[in-house]
Parts: sequence; structure tokens; C-alpha cells
Amino acid sequence: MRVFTGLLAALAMMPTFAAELRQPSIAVDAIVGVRVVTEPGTVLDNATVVVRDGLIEAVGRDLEIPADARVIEFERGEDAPPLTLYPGLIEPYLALDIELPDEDETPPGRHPLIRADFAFDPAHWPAESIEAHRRAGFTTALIAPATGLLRGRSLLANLGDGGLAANLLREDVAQHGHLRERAPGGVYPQSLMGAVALFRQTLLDATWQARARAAWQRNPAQARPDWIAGVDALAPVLAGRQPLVMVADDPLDSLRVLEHVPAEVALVLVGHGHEYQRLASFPRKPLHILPLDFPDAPDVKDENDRDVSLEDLRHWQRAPENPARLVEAGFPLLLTAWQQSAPGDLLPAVARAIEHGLDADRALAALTTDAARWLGIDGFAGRIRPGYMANLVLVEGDLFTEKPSLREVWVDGLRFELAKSEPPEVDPAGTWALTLTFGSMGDVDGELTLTGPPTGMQGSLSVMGNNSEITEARVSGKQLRLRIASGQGNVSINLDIDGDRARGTGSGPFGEFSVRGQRSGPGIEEVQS
Amino acid sequence: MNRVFRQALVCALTLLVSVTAAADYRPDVEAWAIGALPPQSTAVVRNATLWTATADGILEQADLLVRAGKIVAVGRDLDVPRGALDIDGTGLHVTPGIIDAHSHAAIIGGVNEATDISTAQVRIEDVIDAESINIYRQLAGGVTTINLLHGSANAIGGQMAVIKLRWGADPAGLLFDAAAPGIKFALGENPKQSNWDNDHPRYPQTRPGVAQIIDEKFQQAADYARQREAFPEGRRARDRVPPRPDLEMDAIAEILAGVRKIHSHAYRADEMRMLITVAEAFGITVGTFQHVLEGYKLARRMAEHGAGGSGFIDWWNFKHEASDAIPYNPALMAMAGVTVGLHSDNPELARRMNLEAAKAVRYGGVDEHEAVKMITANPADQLGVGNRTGRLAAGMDADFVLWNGHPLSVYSRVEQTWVDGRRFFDRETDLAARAALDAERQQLLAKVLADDEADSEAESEASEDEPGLRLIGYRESELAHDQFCHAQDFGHVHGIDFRRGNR
Repeated sequence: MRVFTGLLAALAMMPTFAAELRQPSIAVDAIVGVRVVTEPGTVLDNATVVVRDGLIEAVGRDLEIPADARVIEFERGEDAPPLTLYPGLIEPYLALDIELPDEDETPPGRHPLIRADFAFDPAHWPAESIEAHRRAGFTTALIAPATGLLRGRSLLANLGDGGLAANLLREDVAQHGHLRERAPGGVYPQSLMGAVALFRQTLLDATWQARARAAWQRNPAQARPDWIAGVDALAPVLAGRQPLVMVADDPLDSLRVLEHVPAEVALVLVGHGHEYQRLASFPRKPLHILPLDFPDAPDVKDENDRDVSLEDLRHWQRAPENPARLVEAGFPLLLTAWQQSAPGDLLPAVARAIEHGLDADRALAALTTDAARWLGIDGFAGRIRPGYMANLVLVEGDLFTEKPSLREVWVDGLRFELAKSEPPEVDPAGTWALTLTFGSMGDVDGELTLTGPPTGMQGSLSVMGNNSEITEARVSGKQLRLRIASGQGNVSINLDIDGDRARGTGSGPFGEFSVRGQRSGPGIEEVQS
Repeated sequence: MNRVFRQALVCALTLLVSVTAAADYRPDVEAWAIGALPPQSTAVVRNATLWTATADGILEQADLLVRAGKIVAVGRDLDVPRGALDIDGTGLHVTPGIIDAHSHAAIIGGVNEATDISTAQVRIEDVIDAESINIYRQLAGGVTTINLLHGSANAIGGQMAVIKLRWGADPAGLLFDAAAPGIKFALGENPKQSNWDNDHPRYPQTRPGVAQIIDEKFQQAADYARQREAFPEGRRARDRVPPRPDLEMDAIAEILAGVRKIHSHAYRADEMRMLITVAEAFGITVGTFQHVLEGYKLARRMAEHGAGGSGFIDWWNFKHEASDAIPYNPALMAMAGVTVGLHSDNPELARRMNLEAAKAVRYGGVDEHEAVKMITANPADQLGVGNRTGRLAAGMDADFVLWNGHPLSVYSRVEQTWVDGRRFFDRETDLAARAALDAERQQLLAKVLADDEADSEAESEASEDEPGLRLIGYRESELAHDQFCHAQDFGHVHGIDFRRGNR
């Protein structure tokens, strides 16, 4: 029994001890009887996908299911839309604010906005944002620094649990920038024209420093050049080997960026949604990473409240056409959930863009194959194909609808179930004695306490004397879903409630387990009386 | 009254006035939405009164012929090519397009880079707001070319941009390629930060200090240019550390080479005399003094040096250094041989520049034709585009204005404004377009309402927004940071300060 103490403490007090224990081997899964969109434009009905060790082993109809596979099957009603498995979505711009040092702490030789040498550290891992994106169907993201004029280098990671260590795909993917930034503490620059001048000077400095340092190293018998921090990281950008991703605020800002970034740089624009206004003025057609935060309709129900401008009305009407207009004009396009109030708002917005002329396969490609190609991972990501990462989204019906119903997201072969809630049919309030089974390693007991109504439950889970707050407890139909969040990952447990009995499964960064339970304490009425 | 409090009040009042003024204002025309620019017509204006701004003076019952963006001929009974657009000019007056040599009307993201005493590296051409409604409104006042200047917060400000008001063009298309490079300087109280909250006090804090820092920057730039010139080329350069390129020094070195002209904010005669002295020590000529309130005291010296004067005619006493002014100033400077222009420094005033010229007739008895030159040919010469615009003469750009009466009359208004032979403003077209714009608006409102009904469950979240202090009808880009308020830490109260400009 002692063997399990550390494991269970880890379950209860994530993430303290899990790293010290061997992980259970990853299961082999066969997802059967689903419609599979293997890549944009290619659909297999009633197909099977076999996942082994985090990779896709086989895809097709009439596959032989491996003997060691856990078979995942779904009961579907006659009229229910087909469950559809898509490649996991790729977010090409997950922006992450990084705190700037105080102005007093900026040493000589370093401009606070010139941070081209910045690179992420495991401590920056944005677990909450990662989870929010995963719930929206994303399985991979380019995580980009969002502070400074030249902001530093992004990295590419899968959106699983376990932090950067478990998820890193590529580091040093692209350089990032935005001309809008102003220096902290009132120092230069405080205007847009100042920011542009600093940007131009920095590109000159990068070229000069490489040349000056090299000349001095060859011939040290001359005055040593001052060293400017941060600019050396621009060398691969200026040589055209690393993309420069610039955020643009409006059409004039797009043109401004295009004017000041040399033509040999692999420039990518993070757009603003107003591109349609001046598309003909673009001197080049750089890749656009396009947000789809279309404006809400102005409120004009009250006749006295109609001081909405024609400008706003026009944009309200035309904004959803913007993606199609870009494609039509020959711009390569990726899509981002950046600027949406939540990542989950992207898919309905894509549906609107499709209504307004964007080709649906093109939209899917923008979120899968095209993004993978730009990020240099199209040999193993963006498709459902043998040898590719088992990054998947399972949806009721189609992905691009006004109200998409995402059932599951798989990252590196690990399953995250996130079906939409149904009205509660059971009330699991009370105290439950649970038995957690870790495969061949045996059973452990725990105690779950839940209070409050099924629509807003609170509680805690106690295992071997370690007590953890439940982050989220939801009742959907007859199922109870529990989540315990922590810095390095989440523990989730799903239980089917049948009277005072419960059965289900759980998962955490250390693997999966099964759960059985029996209600031992009073239900909600008794608690309240 | 406590200065900071007073300035807070000014900022607050500014906002209040702007909100009131904006209440009925709806932006209707948008630059991007015009699609293609108006065509470059072959056109003739017949039988009009032409104010040529040349030695020809005012021509009665004369014709003006334009083709392919240029003025082809000015005179009586011109041969007109078949198919030319024929405009009956009977009773109309034609002047060259008005040139405003001091404007901040279409700048985005801040008029000042106020952080250092010299910011010669910043360029207005990087931040031209091609969407600014001011461009269209000023066309309606007969303006065809404006000089977008950096503000006056520092002794050596940013590089200016001269644009033609080609409404609908993108920023690169607005730039007037023939204009001489120029840069804003400022003397007096603003560069020494006397009206700011000095959280970041900087050198200098006195007028002699302003003189010293300009001299110092000139010397630095001269050293910089020498170093760059002395650096070897080709193989011999391989193992030598090259001088670091410096955009600020590049711009100041251009001033010293006589390529980039100084346009300096100045009120007082003593400080203008100072800049002339410093410039002459480096062998260069000041392009113009801007505002130039005490120019009348220094007019002969200005003429001898070759500096132009670009000023207000009846605006002063907004602060102590701007007190010793007279409306006869333009007339007196002109008498002494100074090239005199009148400017707006203000997007509203810019729509009535003809009345500024009229005041020069009233104060000082300037000849009417000479007064019109103060808003056309003279500022064109000051900006180095006198051989391209500002006059009605064969070979010049077809930049001209049709007035329904005497251009110096308060009762006259602009009927048409042409730039490069394209009719960018036409009063009749504008009036007709208003109905179409209103119809478009009603149609879109109806669509919003129809969508609302179709989707009545989806209550718009936007409707829950607090209206707050919002300037109706202005884009965020137009509410650019105003350094004056910003420096006072009223950063969130960004009014459009029509009155203050950068005086």
C-alpha cells in the first residue's frame, strides 16, 4: 500500500510528487464508428482511428482493431448527427504578455522595448490559457511573446498537460513585433512615429553590430564598438531564415509595416479585420494570421438611440466578408482565436465567415494543414494520417457551426472529454467513499465531499489525508464531472451517478485510472436541515 | 491659479467642447470607400476671374485649360480640345489651390515625440492618417496641399511631410514628391518644458540652453558626417569597425548639407535672431519661422538671411511669450522683402484660409492679389514646391479652386477643388451624395433590425456597454495622444484640441 502514498498525494496535491513516479504506459485506443475528416476535403464515413503511444497508427474503414486496444464506441440515436473526428486545430498566435522590468532596472545598452532575444522559460507556461484553447478544439499553438516593440521568439507546443517539458515541438520559431508599443516610464518612444523610428534604427543596429563585432574580432587593435543588447537575435530574421510576425492595428498600420520591413524578410501580419478596406494598396501579399472578432450588431431598437455612425454600420456588414476577400485577393491565410473574448468564440465566427463566402475547406486548412506547413510540422501534424501526432477533435456533426458541440479533444493520444452539459438529472451532494484503481498497481481509497445544488457545486477530495479543493464540479445528465486544477496540469474525474453508486474514470498528468464510489453521507436536504 | 489645476481644467474643457460639437456629427464619407480616385480630366474653365498668383495678376473673363494633371494654358479664348469637360466660369473666381504650410491635421499616434530635446529621427511621413476626415473637409475649403509638421515640444522635432489632399489615396500616394525635405524646430517656452509637469526634466530649461543644444547637435552631426565620410570603402573597410548609423544624426547632417530645411516654431524676435546666428555659423539658411509673431521687429534681418515667415495674422496672447504681436505683422514683413505665408496650425481654421488672407488686406493694406499669394504661391515657395503648385500658369500642377465669388469675401464659398487635374471636391456632388449616404445608412439600420428580429434571443451584449465619455463620430485614431494633456498625466482624457494646436 505504501507504494501508492506518493501517487495519491500527487493526485490530491498536484503537482508535488508525480514526477518521482514512473508513468503508466500509454494505452492503445481504437476510436470506432465515427466520420473522419482526415484533412480538408477528405472524409471517411464510419471509420476507425487507431492511436498508439501518442501517434496515429491507422485510419480507415474496416480496419482490424488491435487486440490490445481499448475500443471507444459511441451510442448514437437514429437522427443524431454523425460524430466527426477532425485533426486537432492549430493556433498560430497564442499571445502571452510578459511583464516589462521597471524602467529603473533597464541597464545601459538595452532599450526596454527591444527584446528580440527574449525566449520562453518553462515558468511562463500559460496553463489556464492552454486549457481554454484545448477546450475550444486547439491541440497545438504557437506561443508568442506580446510585450515590446520587438518582442522575442515564439515556440511551438502541443496543448497537453505536463507543462512545456512534455509539450514542446519547436523553439525559436518566429520573431514577433508590434509598432503600437510605448516605452514605460515616459521614455522614448511615446508616439507612433517614435516607435517606427526606433524600429528602423534597431534593424540598422542589428546589421551594424554583426559587421562591427566581426571587424573588431578580426582586428582588436582599434576602438571596441559598444554592444547593443537584444539585436543580435534579429540576424536570422534579416537573413530571411526566420519569420517576423508583426501585429497590425488597422489598414494604414498594415501598409506601414510593409513599408518598413525589408522585402527579403519573411513577414507575417497578424491582422485586424479591416483589411478589405485597402487591399489593393498592399505592395506584397504576406501571410495573414487573421482574427475573426466581428463586431456585434449595434443596438438600434430604440429610435432615439441611433447615433451609430455609417462607418460602424458598414464595418458591421463587411467584417464577416473580410476573410473571403483576402483569399480572393490571393493572400495566404491562417486564422487565430486571438482577440476573441474566449477561444471558443472562434468556431462560430469561422461559420459566419463561411456564410459570407469563405470556403469551408480553406477555413479548415487555415486551422490545420496550412498552419502546420507554415510552422514546419506538416510532416506530423495537421492531418489524421498514420505516423502523425494523435491530436484530434471529436465533434457532433460539423466543426464550423453557430453552436459547435465539441465532445472530446485528444492531445498526443491523451483523451480530454468535454461534452456539453445537459440539465442535471441527479443530485450528487453528500459524502462519497471512492475507490481509485490504477491499472495493475492496485486500489486506493478516497473521500469526496460535495455541497450545494447540482448547478453550482463545491467540494473537496481527500486522499490519504491530503485534501484538495475541487476547482470545478458539474452535473450533466446523470454524469458528475470533477476537475482539480493546478499549475502543471489538471486532474479530471467523470462519474456516472446511479442513486448512491458511482462509476467512472479519471485522468491526470500521470495517466488514467478508474473510479468506483458509494455515497456514505447525507444528501443535500439533510445537509441543509 | 495653480498651474497644474488650470491645465487640467483646460484639458477637461477641451473635451467638453469637443463632445458638444460632435453631438450632431456623423462621419459619412470614408477615404477608403471612394474606390478609385476621380479621373484626371481634360477640362476648361471659361470666362472666369483668374487669380494667377504670378506676374499676370488677376485676369478677367479668362480661361483655364488643364490636361493630364497639368495646367496647359491660361488666357483668353483658348483653343479647347474636343471632348474636354467644359465648365462655365461666368461669375466664378479661380485661385490656385490653397497651401497650408503649418498643419497637424492628418497625423496618427501623436503629434509630438516629446521625450528628448532632439528627435530628428522621427518622420511624419510614417504616420500620415489617410483616413482623416480633415483632408476632405479642407478640400471643401479650397486647400490642396498641407505641410504636416511635428509638434513644438522639443528644440529639434521630427521630419515633416508635405502632402497633397488626394482624398482616398493611401499615405504614400498623398506624399508630395517634389517637396523639399524639412524638419520642425522649436524655440522658446515649449522646448524648455515650461508648461509641463517636469517629472522628466531635461536639459535645457532656459532660452540660452536651447541655443546651446542646437549648436551642440549641429556639431555632433558634423562630426558624424565626417566619420562616415572618412570611413574607407571596399576591401580596406573589412577589418575596420564602421561608425554606427544613427537616424537622428543622418537628419541633422542633411540640415547642415543644406538638403533639409528648418521650419522653426518661434514667437519672439530675440530667439529668431539666435537661430539665424547659429545657422549662419554653420553656413546654412533657416527655411521659415512658424507663427513668427514678432517678425515685424526682425523683418530686414530675416530678409537678409533668406528666412521666410509663416504666421497667424490675429492670434496671440495665449501665453506670455506670444504677447507682443500685431495684425500688421504679415504686411510689414512683406514690405521688408520677406516671403510671407499665412498658416492654420488648426484643422478647423484651415477650411477658411481665404479669410486669413482677407485680414492681411484689412490690416496693413496688402494688395488683394498679394494677399491671395500669402496662402498660395508664397507658402509653395517656402515648401520648395513653387515650381509645381500655388500658381495658375502653364506647366504647373492643375491644383485650383472655383469660388462662387470674390475669394476674399466672407460671403464666398468653394464650389470645386481640383488636385492634379482631378476634381476631388465638388459642392454639387457632395450635396447629391448625402442622400445616397443617408439611404445606405437607413438600409443598414433596417438590416440590423431585421437580423435582430430573426435572432431575438441573442440579446446584443454591446447594448450593455456604458456609453461613458465617448466622442461620437471620431475614430480612435483621430483621438491621438495630445502631448500637452498627456504630459500632465491626464492621459485618459484625450480631447481633440482644436484651439491649441501646438502653439
